[in-house]
Amino acid sequence: MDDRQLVELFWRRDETALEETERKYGGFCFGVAMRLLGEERDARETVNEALYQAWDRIPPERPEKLGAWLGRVTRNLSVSLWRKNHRQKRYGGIAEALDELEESIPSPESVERELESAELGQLISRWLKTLPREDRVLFVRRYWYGVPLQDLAKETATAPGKLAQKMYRLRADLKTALEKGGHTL
Amino acid sequence: MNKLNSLHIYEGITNIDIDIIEEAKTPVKKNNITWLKRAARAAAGLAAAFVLTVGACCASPALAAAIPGMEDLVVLISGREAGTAESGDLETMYSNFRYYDDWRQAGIADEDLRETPEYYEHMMEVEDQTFVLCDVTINARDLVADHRVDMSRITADNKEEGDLVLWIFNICRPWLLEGLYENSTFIGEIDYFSLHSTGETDYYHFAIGPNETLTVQVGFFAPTSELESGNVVLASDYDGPRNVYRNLYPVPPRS
Repeated sequence: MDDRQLVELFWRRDETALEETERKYGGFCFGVAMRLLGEERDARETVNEALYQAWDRIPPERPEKLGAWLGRVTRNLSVSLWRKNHRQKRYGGIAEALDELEESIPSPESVERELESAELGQLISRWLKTLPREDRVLFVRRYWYGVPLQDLAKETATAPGKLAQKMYRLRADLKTALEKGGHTL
Repeated sequence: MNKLNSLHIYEGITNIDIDIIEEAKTPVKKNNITWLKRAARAAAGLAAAFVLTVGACCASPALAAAIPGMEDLVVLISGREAGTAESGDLETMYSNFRYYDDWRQAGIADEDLRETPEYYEHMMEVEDQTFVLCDVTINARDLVADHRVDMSRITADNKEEGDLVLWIFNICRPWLLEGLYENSTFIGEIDYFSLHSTGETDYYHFAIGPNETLTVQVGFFAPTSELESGNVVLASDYDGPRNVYRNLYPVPPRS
């Protein structure tokens, strides 16, 4: 069943939409959540919640790329769970990515204003579109999909040290782009 | 101005465009060999010829004789396509390899490195790396040019077709020997060049004239395990008016 048909099921309020979506994208969403949270039980709950959110939001939304859309919902839910539980649990994937991002994007003691994530997402999207495709995919696979650096090194046939250099440069470049966009880091 | 922390950035990344997320579902296979192919075309148009050049270590008696104490060195010289405008050749000779667990032990000032100390500290956290320092003698043998070439003024944009100059634009960090042509893994660029330029010009820019010989120091990071097994190669490039040439030298294994 393709994405268009799945979305039509949601629009018709046909409950098989949930079953079919889980069959098609459950594994993908679980992988996203698992990489970020590293705990199977929390990851499964996050995927279930993502499916419920899909049921709530479609309609009125009509995502063209359901997999990526669901993945984004799953990631947002994972971050929410991280916010809620990180004092009690250390979620490996997110914590690791935050450590990396913090290295070139220092965390201030106090945050003057919490920027809307969607607005920031647009800014980062514009920056990503200025990159060569190879760099863009690399950055997104590391910081969106949460693929470990060692795995990325294998995917791209690059030495881990070399890849770490590239990621460092990309983060520094993002920092510059955000500063040009009027944000202090 | 809005102050952001790393979690904000993370959430922002979460909400990037769906198209970008979709695009990155599958990895892009990196094409590491574009410039090697270019070099191979310049050498002979054949990959096999290029690899043959690597295998055929040829001593350079003229250069070795000119520099006392360097008679035993091996110099690898890549070929030149017949009929091109360039005249003369460029040789690079490597010697006196030293290995350090930390670049600071080599007595190199932080400001002379290509990148910041934080950059290298991060790199070493990710992978066990050794800092290698060596001497490189560059000889513009029989180079035909009517003036000393000031590399600080030459860029990829203003270099003109047919210029009778050799353009040394880079000294590369090593490649792994195994599968040199088809499956090689590019490690990176050098991290220290004793003649490095300052300011906005390329870090590697320097000047050399016809028949001039320079001795410089080059430093780079490479994975310790690869160095110990002798899998690392130094490559020096130079770019003439029509072709790119490459000299390769295997780095002696770290004992």
